[in-house]
Amino acid sequence: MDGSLPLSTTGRRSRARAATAGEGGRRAAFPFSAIVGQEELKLALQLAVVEPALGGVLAFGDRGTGKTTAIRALAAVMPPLRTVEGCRFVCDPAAPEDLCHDCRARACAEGLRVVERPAPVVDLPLGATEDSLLGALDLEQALAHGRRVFQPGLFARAHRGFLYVDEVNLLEDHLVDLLLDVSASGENAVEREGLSVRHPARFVLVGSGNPEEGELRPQLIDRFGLCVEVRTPTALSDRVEILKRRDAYEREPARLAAAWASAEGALRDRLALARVRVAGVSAPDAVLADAAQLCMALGSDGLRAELTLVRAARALAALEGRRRVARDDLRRVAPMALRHRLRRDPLDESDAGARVARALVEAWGP
Amino acid sequence: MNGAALGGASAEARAAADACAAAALLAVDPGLGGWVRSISLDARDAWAASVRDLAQAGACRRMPPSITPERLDGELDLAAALALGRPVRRAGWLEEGGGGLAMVHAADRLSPEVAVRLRRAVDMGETALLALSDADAEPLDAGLADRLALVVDLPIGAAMPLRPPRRRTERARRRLVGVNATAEAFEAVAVAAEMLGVESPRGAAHCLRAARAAAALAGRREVDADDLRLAMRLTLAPRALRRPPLQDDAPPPPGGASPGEDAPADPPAPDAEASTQPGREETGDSPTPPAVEELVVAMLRAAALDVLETQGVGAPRAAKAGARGRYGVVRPAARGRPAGVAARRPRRGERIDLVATLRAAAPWRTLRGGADASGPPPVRLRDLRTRRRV
Repeated sequence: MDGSLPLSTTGRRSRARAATAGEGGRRAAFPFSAIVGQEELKLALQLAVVEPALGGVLAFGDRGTGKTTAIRALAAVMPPLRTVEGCRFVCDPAAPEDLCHDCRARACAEGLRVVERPAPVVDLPLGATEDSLLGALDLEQALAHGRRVFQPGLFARAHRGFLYVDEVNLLEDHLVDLLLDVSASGENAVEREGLSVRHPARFVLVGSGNPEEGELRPQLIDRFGLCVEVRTPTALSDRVEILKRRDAYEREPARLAAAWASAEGALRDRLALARVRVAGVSAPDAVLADAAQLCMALGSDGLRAELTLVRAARALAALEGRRRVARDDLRRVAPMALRHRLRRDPLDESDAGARVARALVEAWGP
Repeated sequence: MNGAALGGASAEARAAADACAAAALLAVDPGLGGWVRSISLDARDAWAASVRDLAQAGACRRMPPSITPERLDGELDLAAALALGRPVRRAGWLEEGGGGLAMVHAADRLSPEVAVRLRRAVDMGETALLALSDADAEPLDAGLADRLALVVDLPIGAAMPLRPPRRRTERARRRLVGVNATAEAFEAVAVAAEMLGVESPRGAAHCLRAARAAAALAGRREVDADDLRLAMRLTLAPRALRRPPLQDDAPPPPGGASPGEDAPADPPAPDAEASTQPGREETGDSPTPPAVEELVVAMLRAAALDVLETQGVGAPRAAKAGARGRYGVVRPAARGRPAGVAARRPRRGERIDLVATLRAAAPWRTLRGGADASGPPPVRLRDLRTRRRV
């Protein structure tokens, strides 16, 4: 931070950084389909892709169990987005009321040109600053030209995609506040440094962490639609298979990717199809009553539990190509939708997932 | 270390041989990463020097534990930015290295924010990491320790055996890509990890990778029992949470190092061979697990036992490691977790956030009569921004 920094590396900018990191050994992501076990985590992530309104996924669990791997791998199987060409905020041309200021001007002037681009999976590093998250005054424009220009932040980049926070339980409180605010409202409002900017920021929040290292704030836990507990696989055959694939990945990532390319393509198509179909999946009244009954039996706070439960069940039905939600769908998604919403019971110290499973059996039989 | 002293010179000699082997493996495959502990600073320095000698020229760089997250990731170069009138980014420490081996002395002093970034960098293959710390110091960040393959406790006082010649490690580096592992080796590693109670799947992966490096160093194209034994000693044994079920057929080794005296030389080799051969034949009609288990038990008996003895398994340091204690401590203003920026002058021990300050000053440029738009904006006292920490 002093004036005598060596200037040898100056002149590189963030884009150059990404390129050099690529040469410097950054690898392709591990294929999503090649992850051994962890079915609950994989299902939760797929449901979040199919139904972004679910509210994201929280993956808590032991070290080294593939939480981060699975989430990074997801980017490759996400269906692409249709967006306005050249838009900084990834506006959706199908939602004219949500267009940003620039796109409205464009729409009036020459009409919107639509392009497809990959859905973003944006990493929120623990050390992010408020500015980098919200967006801030563009320093270059301000210093060099005296102009006031907004430089979009991570919230803008994650719009319509995933925002991933690794070690979410270690995230600083002032960033958690921003995250809560924006993920609740779906809009990022910047009113500072003479800027007054609003832009839509609807993203699927994905967090992972190891609960041994710190607790998560209750408000933030509540934001996550689904919560999965990731455990170390215990079967020897699974462990050997993990070892083999991990080893193959470490030695020849490109070859592993090629071997799994067709499985990845099939999954991508399936997710894209389910995303279209999910709106047409109906939930009969009997299933809604079942969901409400289960949530009452578990004493979960608020109505978000029922909503999430039914949404997740619909996403599951869409993923499997069915047009109606059945009780079995509820049963399958109930642990991940309700696990983190149980009231703490001082007399029942058992694991939250086990409590949900017990309630399921009590309500609907084994 | 007291346990080792009781065991006599042989255990120490063996520990020294292990340490030497670990240095060679790390030089062959820096991506393994390692965590080296000793109460003697000289021993750590000497060990690090031997890695540096054996590794590729320029591959090792020393990272100060006091490095800031900004320096690690790259930050705005203020001097250049002000001179040129546009933001200039200074490359981060990791980028400058281009994926080499980062050596951190006193690694227990890495701040949690830096440790978390290093975890990610190791995951993404952006850097390899060698952490050296005092055996009595606070444990290393648990997530980081989990990502480092070799765990070495350096003996003090024992003379370091001669390291392998440089040329041999160079050849081994070239050979490394072609080293294969049989299906049995995979299975043996998985079984061993389970027997020793190594929960994290990374443990087994580390073991296999270390065995590959060992095979390359020995000039083999395929991982064999010796390589696996060495790898288990260096990666799995220090992480063990329980003793493997060896007592039933083996005489209990309460004497600690007394069997260790000749263990490295004589018994393991015939032992392992004896169980390898029938193991292969039996697999034809009976299910594999018993044979593999036998093989692994034989290997562990030869490989890991005295390491477990000297460490006093049940309370391994790797398992105790946890960052929890660090977060609860009340710290002076200069330390603590960053909590945004405050619009005030820095108090004792605090630092100005220059970027935020300039940002605050920039909109006022014209009003304050900054006639030349090329220079930095005139800064007033009320623009000062301070990095807040809690």
